[in-house]
Amino acid sequence: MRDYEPAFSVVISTLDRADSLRVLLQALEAQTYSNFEVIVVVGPVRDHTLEILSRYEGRVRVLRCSQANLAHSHNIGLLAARGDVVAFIDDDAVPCRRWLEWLANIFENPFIDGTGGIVYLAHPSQPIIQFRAGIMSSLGEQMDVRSSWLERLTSPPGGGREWFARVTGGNMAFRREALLEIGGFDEFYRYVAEEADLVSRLAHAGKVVFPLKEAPIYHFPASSQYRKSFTNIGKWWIQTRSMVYFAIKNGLEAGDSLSSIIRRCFHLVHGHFLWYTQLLTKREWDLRQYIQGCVGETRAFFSGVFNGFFMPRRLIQPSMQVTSLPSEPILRFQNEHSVFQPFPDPVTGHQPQVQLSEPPLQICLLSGSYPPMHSGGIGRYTQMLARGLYELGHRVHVITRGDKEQVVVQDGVFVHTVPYQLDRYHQYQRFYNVYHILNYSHAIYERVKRLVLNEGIEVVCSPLWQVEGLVTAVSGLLPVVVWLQTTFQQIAELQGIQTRDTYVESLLEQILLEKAAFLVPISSAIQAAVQGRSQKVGSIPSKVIPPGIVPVPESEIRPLDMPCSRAPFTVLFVGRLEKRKGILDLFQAIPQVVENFPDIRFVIAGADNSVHDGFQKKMGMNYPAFFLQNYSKYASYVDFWGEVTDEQLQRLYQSCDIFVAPSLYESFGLVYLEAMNYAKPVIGCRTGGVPEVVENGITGVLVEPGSPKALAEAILSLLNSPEKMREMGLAGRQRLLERFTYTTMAKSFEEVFRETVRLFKVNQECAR
Amino acid sequence: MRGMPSAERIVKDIEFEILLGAIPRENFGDAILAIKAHQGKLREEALETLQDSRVREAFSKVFQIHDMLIVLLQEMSKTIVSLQASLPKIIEQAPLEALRPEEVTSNRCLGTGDSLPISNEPTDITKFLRPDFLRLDLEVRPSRLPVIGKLVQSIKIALHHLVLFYVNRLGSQQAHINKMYGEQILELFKVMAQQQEQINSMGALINELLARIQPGKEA
Repeated sequence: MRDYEPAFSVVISTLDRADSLRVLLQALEAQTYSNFEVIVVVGPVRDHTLEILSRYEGRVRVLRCSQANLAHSHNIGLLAARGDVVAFIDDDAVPCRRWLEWLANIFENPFIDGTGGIVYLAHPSQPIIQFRAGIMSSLGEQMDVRSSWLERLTSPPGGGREWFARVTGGNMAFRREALLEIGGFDEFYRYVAEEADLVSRLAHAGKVVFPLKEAPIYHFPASSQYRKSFTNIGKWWIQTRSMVYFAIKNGLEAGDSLSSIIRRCFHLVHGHFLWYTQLLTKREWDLRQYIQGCVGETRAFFSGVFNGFFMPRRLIQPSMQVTSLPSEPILRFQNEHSVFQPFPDPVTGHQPQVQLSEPPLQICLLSGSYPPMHSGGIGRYTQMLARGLYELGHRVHVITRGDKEQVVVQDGVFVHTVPYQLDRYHQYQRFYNVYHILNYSHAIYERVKRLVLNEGIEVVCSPLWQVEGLVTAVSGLLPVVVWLQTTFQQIAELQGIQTRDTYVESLLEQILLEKAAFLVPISSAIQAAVQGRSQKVGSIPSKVIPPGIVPVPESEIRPLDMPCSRAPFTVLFVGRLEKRKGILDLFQAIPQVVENFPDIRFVIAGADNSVHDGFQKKMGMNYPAFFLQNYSKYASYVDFWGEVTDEQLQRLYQSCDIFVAPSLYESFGLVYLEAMNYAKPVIGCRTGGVPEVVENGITGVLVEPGSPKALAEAILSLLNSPEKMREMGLAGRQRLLERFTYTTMAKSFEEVFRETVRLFKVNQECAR
Repeated sequence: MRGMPSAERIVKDIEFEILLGAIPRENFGDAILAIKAHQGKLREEALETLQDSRVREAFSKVFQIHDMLIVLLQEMSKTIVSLQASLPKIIEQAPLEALRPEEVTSNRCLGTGDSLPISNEPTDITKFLRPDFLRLDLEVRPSRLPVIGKLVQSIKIALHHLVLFYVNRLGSQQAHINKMYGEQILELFKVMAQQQEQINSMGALINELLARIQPGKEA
């Protein structure tokens, strides 16, 4: 229970954005702070906004605004607000779960009258930060000062005489009384700068606005009557109209010289004219659009100048304020069901249709690779798990590696990319990999901290590979569930690599294992291998959960036709070209197969890894070159595809007849499942977790690892019995549907996460 | 780092990095103290295990530099805390001084019929009603620290500027309120003076009447 719980009125001004509004309202259900009402001010709509709002009857106050004017719409909301604090949020945004909690914390300070949080732009190529703690001058010169705002606040460059803290209109909150005292928003601003003008007037009235560097909202820009999202199509002169007016009104009030105000106004118009000309020369605009832009710009300029110099501000009149004094308590938005609501996909608006008996979990999954940016076993496991958990109603964040900090939403899952920052652990520079691993793990920890602060993340799940969750686990901030695939130590042993780096990397793995709250091996084989490493690791609770994938529709599977008329037969290998994946065994088996069954083709898909596994150093060439040199007679039977896209991979699975992956060790073997998905018989080795996936003689054939002869015989045995191939393929598909779907995996993980969170809370209570 | 690190060493390094990152502005001082404690622990361990005197000396110097940096952080922390603490004081003190209770309580003599000491009050209050009364100017003592003195000085100035920015804004708001209060008080003084005059004249009248009645009674 908090000491100070101000009542909030969340005002949403909306116009023709019904779908975005629906997502926003669903997201507000998940707020951790419940003392708030929602007021939706609807402009002259033409879409199904009112139908969406009718679903919230008795929970949302709906008001109408006859004109498309943001400031006027905000003022209607302000006058109707019954809360102590009025918060404004864009209708195409989704707040973080602790948004109102953060704002409430700020208003505990009686000196602060206004605040605003940061804005994340959810976009695959744009930087994550759309807005963070800026300042603005009385002439409208803006600076998004980000990290250096402290030093710049004293002497920012620009002509304006006064500078004040800036908040963004999509994420701001003010004390109701303070807003009413200054007459609310100036209704001259139809769009842009209404919040800057408000903050300027608050500053003149001696009110303090303190921008926050937390409390983010995720912005999913939607098109409006003034702009088409992520294009240059828009009525941009509306900005000039607002900014010229802003510079004149606020410049005069701040005592800026007339010459500097006029210079600023011309600067604004000049900038837009230059931009329009650029758009024309780049052929992004045609001549008609250009002329329209120039005319609009000129009209906007004169409108701003005339209203700025000669017309009074359009503020809320005191008589209207008197009638608006709140006489009733707020109409609370959240009800007893809100806490059980599954989280919607902010992009598609889809909400999982599940009935939750407990509140959804807040989960963070770590994976250095994540489709579509990277492909790779762990990335694909993680993607499937994230999707499954989302469909079970949980809110899932994935942290993955990227060139820059970004956030996107995929299948209802927030995917955050975190770049490498080599700014710590300099004492480990001699251990190249370790230095990178520790720095990346720390960068992830920093991001996890942000998510804990803003989203209330409860549990982190990290793969053991690359120990991404190491720093988080050591910090004790949250319980870390470690997902166990093939360990680095096993791979180093299999590939015969023993360096100082590998020794330290094994140590890192050991630390993460010992700091884990729960272990989830993907197979019994990996569980046995890891638990034997130390007594401490053996004592950590664990549960085997095999990975799962999305079953393809029946229409897409391609079992072998009977009677068989297909020729030549295709044998597919998928995996990195390295010793551990058994590529050399396959090379050795190919001649024997071709000699006995010439009507055949081998397709080998996967990136060459000869540099990292030491083959290149040892032989002086990569794997395809090695095959072509040593087995040149059989080169025409083999196609090397290299790394393939997801679409190509699906087509390869569909078109092959036999799938082969003779890995010397696999902790599980996702590739077998992917082939089984398309009803293909599989050939693997009796090692690691493979026998848990492939039933020998039923869904495929298992041979001893490192035995090319046995491998060739297995391939030939299937080639000579098409009926068996078909039966095994269909049996494999059936086994997948029964045991290895992503929903089965997600349900098992859900139990593990709930148990882990419960134990963590119990331990925390005991520690207190 | 010479030789191979142990698991314990790696965990300690991670904990230290976490500690370094755990300096939120509001818990600045606490975080510095935690770092200092950690550094002390490390120093003790390092110097205990090192045998070579030259290596020990080198380590000692590194720790000394760390100590200096920690002291610098502590100084910064103190400055921030003192500036934060002075903020409400600055606002509260001035108006309280302006409305010192002594002047008002001196009116306890009202009932005795003594005249009010009102002549000097308005000037005292009007002094505090000037709009610039609460305005603060930059006042930073030069740092005497060698080498890093300039850095410390520039940080101090930047922090002072920030605080002054908000303090002066709050000050102007408070000055406005003070002005209104002051005007009301001055108005009250006038009313009180008038009332006192009336009381005095009525007192004089009563005395006069009493004087008239007394001889009559005696008569």
